[in-house]
Amino acid sequence: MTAARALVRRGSVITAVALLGLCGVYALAIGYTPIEARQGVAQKIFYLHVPAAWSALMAFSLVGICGGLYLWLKDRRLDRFAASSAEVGVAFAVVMLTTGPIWAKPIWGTWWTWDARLTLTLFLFFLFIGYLALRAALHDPSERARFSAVVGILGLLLVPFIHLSVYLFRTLHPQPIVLKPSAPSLPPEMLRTLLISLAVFSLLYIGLVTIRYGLALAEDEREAMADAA
Amino acid sequence: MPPENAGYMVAAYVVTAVILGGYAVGLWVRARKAIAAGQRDGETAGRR
Amino acid sequence: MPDTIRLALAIAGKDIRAELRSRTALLSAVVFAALVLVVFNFARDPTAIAAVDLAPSVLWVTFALASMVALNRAFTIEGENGALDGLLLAPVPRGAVFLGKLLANLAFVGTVEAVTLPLFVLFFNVDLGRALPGIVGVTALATVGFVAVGTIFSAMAVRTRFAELMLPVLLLPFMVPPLIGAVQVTSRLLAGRSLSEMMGWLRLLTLYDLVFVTLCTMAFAAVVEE
Repeated sequence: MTAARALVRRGSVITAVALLGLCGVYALAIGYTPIEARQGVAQKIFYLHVPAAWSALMAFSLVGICGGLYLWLKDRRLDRFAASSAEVGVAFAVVMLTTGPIWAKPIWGTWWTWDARLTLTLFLFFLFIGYLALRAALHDPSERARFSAVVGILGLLLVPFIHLSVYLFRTLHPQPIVLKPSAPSLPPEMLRTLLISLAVFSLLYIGLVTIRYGLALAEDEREAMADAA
Repeated sequence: MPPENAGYMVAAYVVTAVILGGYAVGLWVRARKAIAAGQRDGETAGRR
Repeated sequence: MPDTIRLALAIAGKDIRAELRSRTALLSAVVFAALVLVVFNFARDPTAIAAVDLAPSVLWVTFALASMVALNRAFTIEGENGALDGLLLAPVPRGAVFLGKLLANLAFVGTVEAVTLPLFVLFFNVDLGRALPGIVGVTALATVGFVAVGTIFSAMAVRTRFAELMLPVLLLPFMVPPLIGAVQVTSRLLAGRSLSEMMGWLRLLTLYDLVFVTLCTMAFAAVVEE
């Protein structure tokens, strides 16, 4: 348990720092950044939605990549990391799926639209859920690791096809866009805040995955002890 | 004049804080419980 | 390579003969497809919406749902008989086993689609006319893609307790690009549009098939290894 405890402790520190950073981002977004003329205050959702999207996509890419590496190297640590990344990724995906429509409503007048970003968000969410559901339904560790690795790789390769489908659909059926979601040229305060937010979200991802990995390690060790007894 | 839509911003910011904060706390609690249970199991096994 | 193909055909033949004897997967899928078509028919207002506008969507939703029923049954029967374990004990390359399963599933799903299409024409009074060869072609193209992914996922799902629920949860995101492509091409075919307007979608479907059939063939070994 010592390794697991150390990981959880380290992860908690990183997460705490990241959450403090998030408060800082909130302060910056509310006080420091200018109000966009056409979109108003609601545009500031951008500082949370875009980094959440980035984190969710990165989390899922790592699930797929670690899955592929696991099938090649058969190292349980890769499987443990993939599972951790998937769960943390769901949290960021839920943030995307909630802030996305909350942002879309005042800007585009509709809660949902099938544009590239929101559509991909939805699919990423379904892929995460499928991955985690499959893991929950399999009890043999080797089977669970192998099967979820396959789902992870296939899912990662699905992402460009979803993107391509939406792109083909949009070019042939141009939707009237009332306002573009991000300003054509970002003033420096906006850019700085966005970059800081991206850094904070990445740090939060690292912290949460570390805790989650520690939890997975603890559970695996308990299982091993129970089997040995 | 920019449109009056601060309500949406507040909603999004609150929701994000609740999701990320809630998940972080929940995860930490789960991790602590699992480690404590693991230590107990280790002690019982050692005593046997 | 030719050995692999011969083995795959042999495996496919065995599965198809077994299914022809029991016919459970085929029948449940066909009945399901007919039911879906009936519901769709009663769900729309014939004076407000022309059948031909709704046709591609109705057709493809029906194909998708019926395929899922067929795929589920196919592997469940396999699991019940333990025949797959026997097959895997033999020194057969796993890629050949997968291709055999894929061909058999394509035969099942293809049959369901072949029965559903005339039912659809009948219930919805849609004139396929010169679009028929194109529709058959795009149906084959799209079906290969999602049946490949469906075959490997049903091999995984059958190892879980709620296989009938697990397969749709895993498979549905993967069905979307082939479905969108198929619906877009079908609607253009029914409208009598030229081939150039469909090229983008046809390329998408072809690329999807190449990528996923290859990947699933390679990944199958990881799913059935002991």
